[in-house]
Amino acid sequence: MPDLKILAVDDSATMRRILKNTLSRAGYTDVVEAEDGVDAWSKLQSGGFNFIITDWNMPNMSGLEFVNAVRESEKFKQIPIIMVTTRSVKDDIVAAMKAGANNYVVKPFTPNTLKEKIDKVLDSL
Amino acid sequence: MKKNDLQVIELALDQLRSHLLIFETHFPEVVKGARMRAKAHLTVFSECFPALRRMVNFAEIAIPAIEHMIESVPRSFGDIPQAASNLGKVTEATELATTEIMDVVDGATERLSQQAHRIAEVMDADLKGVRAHAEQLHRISGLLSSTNGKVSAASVKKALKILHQQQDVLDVQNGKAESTYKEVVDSLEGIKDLMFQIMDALQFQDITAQQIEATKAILSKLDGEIRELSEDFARGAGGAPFCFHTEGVFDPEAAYDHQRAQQKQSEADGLFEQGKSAAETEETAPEVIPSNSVKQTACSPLTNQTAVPPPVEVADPLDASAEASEEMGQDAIDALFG
Repeated sequence: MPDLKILAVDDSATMRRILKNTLSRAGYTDVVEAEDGVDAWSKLQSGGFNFIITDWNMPNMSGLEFVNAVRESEKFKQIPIIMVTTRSVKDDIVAAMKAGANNYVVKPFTPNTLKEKIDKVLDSL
Repeated sequence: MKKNDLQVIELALDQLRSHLLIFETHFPEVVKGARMRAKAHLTVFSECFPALRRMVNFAEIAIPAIEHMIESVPRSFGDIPQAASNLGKVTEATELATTEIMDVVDGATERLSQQAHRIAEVMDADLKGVRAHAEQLHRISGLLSSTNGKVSAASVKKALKILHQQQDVLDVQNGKAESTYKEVVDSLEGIKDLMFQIMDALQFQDITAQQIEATKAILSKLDGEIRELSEDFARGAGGAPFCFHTEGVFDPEAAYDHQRAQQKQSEADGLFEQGKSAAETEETAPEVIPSNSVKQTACSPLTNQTAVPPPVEVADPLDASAEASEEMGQDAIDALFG
């Protein structure tokens, strides 16, 4: 099990808790929560993160904008990102991919699906 | 337009009606005594009276309608904060209930883990005890085995002593086991109570459904009144009806449906798989579609502009595979990401 420090970004406190719980069951216990893109960007600066899981629909800075910002940053552009969102139209998925997301999970998700995507992304690195 | 203004208009119309009546009454006499040309002009003028009367009658009908509008619109718009408040309560209730449920689940999980550990400990102790008893029984058996049909008194005494000792050990062991099992059973009953707490918390769904229904009722009423006003003004002004925009940080298609999500996940996976293959051969920098806000409008393109710029036309194998706005399942998304 790789030693990951994960940044979990979602404006819903409930979803953040579910994410944290799911990740913990999958063996990833070092999880930091952020409530939107701005908060996530701020926490990212503290460093040490090697994985990001982010929602899309968030106030202040959306998930897509956050992904763009990460990919445009020299310091953080290599961090793998998975988007976890209710959005499931093709345009959105393609936009996420083009913005630089490594994978995509549709809500509501099962713990196995999220773990599978994390494993897949880590294997591809 | 204020109520006073309408009263002024009503007064003016009353005066106009009075003047018209006087004119109509005395007009035949005027026409009689006038010259031919003046008579002709006045005759034409008299033909306008019915039209003027119709205008006055129309104004008499329109004024109450405008009065009603002035009174009812502020009242309707006053309901909007209530609708917003209702929805705020729904969000709050669901958040609270969900937190409660998760606390219960965490507690129950912890308790189950503890009880499983205790049962394991007792089982371990029981197994060891059984082995120990078996050894002692072998000893007793050995002691009581006769040689030539005779068993010494000392052997019997020793065997009895071992039996009594084992009896004491068993009593203690059974007592401990019984106590532990009882505690475990009580704890499991407690977990059952926790599960029921979850059921209690799920009542939020019924409560929030009612709050949502209340909000829906307000919004339906508002929608009807505003549309009616919009159409009336549009007819009067001779233009297009007023257009409505909705913006916000939300996905209007979000739904709690595992089956649908699984299907969409497949499609999203497929897209990511395809995209990965395409990206490996692509030389140009990736295009990014800005803005996450959802903007819905019922307006025609001639009267309104959307905030999101049209996507840049780029030859993309993904475009050939499905409609742009078609929803994707997880498998398709997996295929796209690779």
